[in-house]
Amino acid sequence: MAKDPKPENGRPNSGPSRGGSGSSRASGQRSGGQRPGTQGKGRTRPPANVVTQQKPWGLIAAAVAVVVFAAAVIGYAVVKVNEANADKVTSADQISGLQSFDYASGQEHVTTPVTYTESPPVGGPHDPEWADCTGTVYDVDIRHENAVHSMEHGAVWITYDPDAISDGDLTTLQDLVDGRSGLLLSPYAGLGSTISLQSWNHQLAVDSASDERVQQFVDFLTFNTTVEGHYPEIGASCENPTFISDPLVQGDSSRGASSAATDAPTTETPATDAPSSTSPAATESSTAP
Amino acid sequence: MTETPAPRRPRRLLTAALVAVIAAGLLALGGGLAVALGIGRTEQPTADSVDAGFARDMSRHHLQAVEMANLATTRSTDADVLRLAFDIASTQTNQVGRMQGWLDLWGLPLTSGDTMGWMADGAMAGHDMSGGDGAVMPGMATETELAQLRSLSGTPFDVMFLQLMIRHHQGGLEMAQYGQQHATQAVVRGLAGAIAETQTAETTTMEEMLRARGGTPLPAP
Repeated sequence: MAKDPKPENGRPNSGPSRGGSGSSRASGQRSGGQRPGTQGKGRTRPPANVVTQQKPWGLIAAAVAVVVFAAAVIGYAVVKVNEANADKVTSADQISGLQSFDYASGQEHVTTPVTYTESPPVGGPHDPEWADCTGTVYDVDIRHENAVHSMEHGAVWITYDPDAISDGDLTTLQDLVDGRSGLLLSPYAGLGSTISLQSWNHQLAVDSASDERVQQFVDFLTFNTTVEGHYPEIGASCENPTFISDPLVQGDSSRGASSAATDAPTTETPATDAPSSTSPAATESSTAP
Repeated sequence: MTETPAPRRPRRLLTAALVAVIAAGLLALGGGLAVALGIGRTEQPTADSVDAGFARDMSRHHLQAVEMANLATTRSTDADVLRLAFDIASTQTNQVGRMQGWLDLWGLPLTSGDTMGWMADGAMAGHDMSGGDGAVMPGMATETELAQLRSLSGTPFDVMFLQLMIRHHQGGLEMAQYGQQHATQAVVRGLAGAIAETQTAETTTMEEMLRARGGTPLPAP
């Protein structure tokens, strides 16, 4: 080991020192004494060199720091995003106990009474006139055919059993509905639960107005435009001042029917008028294309 | 002895390079994760997309219906026609607001000179638009028809209003159905579907109203 493989090269003394740290002290001292300028430094370096070869602690520490920092940043972002969405209902089936139905959009307008399958109804044919649903509190059992039209316009119709509800719960519902666009509240005779919430194709029965699902239902389903289960006439109005000042109640006949009845004579008189009014438009379109 | 210091310089460079690689790798990883998790996603329709084309052209189509419906408030005295006209005017104004709001969010112009270019093989095919009288899209009334409608009142107005509105609804149906099937944004597909379904029902209602007032429908566009 101490032997240089090529002692003939004229550097016999460098052989042992180059051999490594394991070389004899005698040769080391000798070479150190001979060339202090270069050999002395070279003598102290090898141990330092050995340390860096073992473990690059600085590099490891830096890498760990970067990893920890990155994980913290990403973790924080993910937590924040999840937090923001935590309380939000994003689909109807997240509201437990909610029932869904499948009434198609574009239901017929009828002025005759409709026998609905569900009670209260959640869709189907309805009156041409919608019940005002601009955050309207009714104290009468409004005509169901008109309320169904309100739901077609995106409203949540809240009904309660006037015999079963407590004063406190009724006040809670009135406060919830009053002035909040897209809501209407009315008593409903023969309701199967204390409170029932309806929107087009959705229904939820609850016992108490403070049930958290009431707020979830109202928040998610009022004017709900999510692709699955959106209300039929997106963008339609809830305004109908006539219905507020003169609400139709169960058993009343449609205003459409009565106006059609009063219209009947008026349509008959202009029946002579009609040809003169239809023909210009008809000729118009026949010349246009 | 002289060879020992030599490999140490590259070693330092290697260390620096490693740290840089690790840092860059983590940055890329973080960015990739953020994208994968949908943080700050900004995928938006372009001007020539179905979404934007539908929003532009259906807005324009709707606005003429609103214009005709607004005429009813001063020219009709029929409660059913007035209610229908209010329903059409308020609903379609609201829907135009939605569609123009999307275009705003997408940073796109609200109007375009090119109508219905976003529909495959030209929806104008099959519709005779040779009138050249301002009927820019299927079912829309011409300037002459609008002028005549403005001149009427009472039942003659009601009849022509229903005739024009029925044809208007029929003309918009194809566009709504195309949007429902081909738009990329869920919110666009939803509104397009709602328009297609409810306007079909409304057309049936109007046809009954028209017959009750002694009118007959115009030929479909």
